[in-house]
Amino acid sequence: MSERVTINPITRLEGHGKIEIFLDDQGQVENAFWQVVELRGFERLCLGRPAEEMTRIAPNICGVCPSAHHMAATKALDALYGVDPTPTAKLLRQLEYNAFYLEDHFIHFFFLAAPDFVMGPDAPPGERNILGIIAKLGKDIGSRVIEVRKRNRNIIKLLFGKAPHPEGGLPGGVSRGITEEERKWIKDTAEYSIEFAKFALELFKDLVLDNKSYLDLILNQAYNLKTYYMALVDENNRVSFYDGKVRVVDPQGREFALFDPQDYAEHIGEWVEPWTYVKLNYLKKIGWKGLIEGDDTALYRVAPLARLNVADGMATPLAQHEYENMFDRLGGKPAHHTLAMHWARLICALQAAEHNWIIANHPLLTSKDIRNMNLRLKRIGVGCVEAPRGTLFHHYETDGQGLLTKVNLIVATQNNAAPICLSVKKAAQGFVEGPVVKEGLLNRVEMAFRAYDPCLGCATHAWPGQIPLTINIREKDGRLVRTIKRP
Amino acid sequence: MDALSELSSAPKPGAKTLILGLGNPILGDDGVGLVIVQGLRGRVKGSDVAGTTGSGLALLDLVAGYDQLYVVDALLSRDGRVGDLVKIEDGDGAGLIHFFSSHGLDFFNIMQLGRELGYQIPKLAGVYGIKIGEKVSFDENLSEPIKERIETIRQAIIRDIVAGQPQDTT
Repeated sequence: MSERVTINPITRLEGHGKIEIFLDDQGQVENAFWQVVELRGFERLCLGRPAEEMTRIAPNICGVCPSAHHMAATKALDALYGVDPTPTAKLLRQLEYNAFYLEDHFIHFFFLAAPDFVMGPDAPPGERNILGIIAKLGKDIGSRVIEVRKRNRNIIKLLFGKAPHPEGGLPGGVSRGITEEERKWIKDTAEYSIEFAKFALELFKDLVLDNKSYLDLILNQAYNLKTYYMALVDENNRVSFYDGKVRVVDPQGREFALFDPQDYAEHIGEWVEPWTYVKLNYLKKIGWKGLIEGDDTALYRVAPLARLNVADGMATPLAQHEYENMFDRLGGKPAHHTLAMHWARLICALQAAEHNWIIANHPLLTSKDIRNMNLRLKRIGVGCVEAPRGTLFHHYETDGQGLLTKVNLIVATQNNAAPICLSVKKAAQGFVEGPVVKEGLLNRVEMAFRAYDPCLGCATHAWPGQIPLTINIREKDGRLVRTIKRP
Repeated sequence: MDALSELSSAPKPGAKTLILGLGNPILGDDGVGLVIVQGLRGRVKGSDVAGTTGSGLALLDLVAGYDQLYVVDALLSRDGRVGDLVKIEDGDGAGLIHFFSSHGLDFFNIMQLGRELGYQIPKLAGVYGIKIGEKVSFDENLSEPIKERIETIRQAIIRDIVAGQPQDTT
């Protein structure tokens, strides 16, 4: 008798998704699917509008990655209007973007990831959150998380008008510069952020790496997925968040492709399956091979671990040191351990903090030359950034009046959608046996996708009320055998 | 977009009461909380008014420092009574769209977090839910049934808040 286990809705995930786990006659996991059950129609909404509105509309796609969408939109408008931002504008944009990275990555680690390790994957769900962490590790940690977030959010507000939905990016530049007085506290914030990132990495080592059971969990084959990887790199093939070329490495870590973001359509294919509204991305030059991992796969992953696997190193010294430590500990590059995303995320945060310190000391930062107004409508523009969750593309086309005729967004979670399905399947096969499944084991399945920090906010914005975890166990014909609800 | 744009002014220092609208201005009736509070500015003595598309910790930034808080949000409804105003008691907010977060902590957890970290967290004096349909989709405009009720809802909220305030006997 085949049966089905449903995890719906998934907790600590932006948007609405569910997991379907199918059991075979012996009660073993036969298959598992991560589904997105609501439709995104965002691109249609934008058609016919002036292209310059995209920097204000795109951040409202969701409340999790607004700065990423705003920056991708701003860069797409640079290309659409054929204009290169001034050096000071580029510095200010990166300052804002790094601040956003810091806020995002620290919140993910302390609010979403750390509870599984501090409280343990088997702890009651009601305790697996930041309140549980504070209860266990003390209020000081909570206060420091809030403080580092607040300080970096103040940079976003200063430069781009407001947070969480910034508005300061303009084609060719930014809307305001900064003063020498403002430079001082920005520099202080960068220093504070560097110290906090170092603290977070030490905490990760103490809590996770020095705990054999957690280290074994990271290295568990159930959390190992062999794929290609994609990320932005700078001119030295080092990790870049704001700009650069898109690099792809194969499952052995060898360079497979290096391309200009405007050529994304030659490299990225979008596969459609009837059971999900998310398009499943794959490498077009290999061709769709289905949901498989290994050397024959056409699937690639993005997000923090992908950034480190793709790059030859980090762009800043302290982050580079941590990068080397991580790959030494994991047995070399590329690392296919999905849970190592958490580690890589903190290393990316450290680079963002160090980079902001460098920017804060740059002599051009306070220049008044913040916008290049030499705009010439090209009618096609592609903007690309490394969103915290991975590579993000915005592609706009307009008519001769600058009104949008085509909008295509390739969002990070879409890049990861097929690998997330595979990660969930492997975790389910590793931890689930039979229809009577303990909550802690189901949480281990959720941990497989939580590591990606998937954001379905681009697919849906409304969350219908409270979100208890409901697990339905059904026979093959759909008959409900058992329902488990989290408190 | 103008009618549904997010309010951007920060709460005034020293104010005791905050009326906070929640919603997304490009999701049709989902944004009704923002529209409602736009028209409340200056109409409730001693109160600050703000709207936000944020959730989670962003709410902590907005509410910390106030004595009391009123929240205005869209309320999912299956009874067909679109545009009805419902006052929800503290802790009984099931169905409110933006009161709960899929990102780990809901509104009440955030308030608890703020208290534990030593912030001055306001008393939740009232939650006003405006019933919308079961589903929302991308749209910059409110539906006609909601639009027609906007000013009536505002007046009801003002009356309720004023009735709950201490009377000035001087």
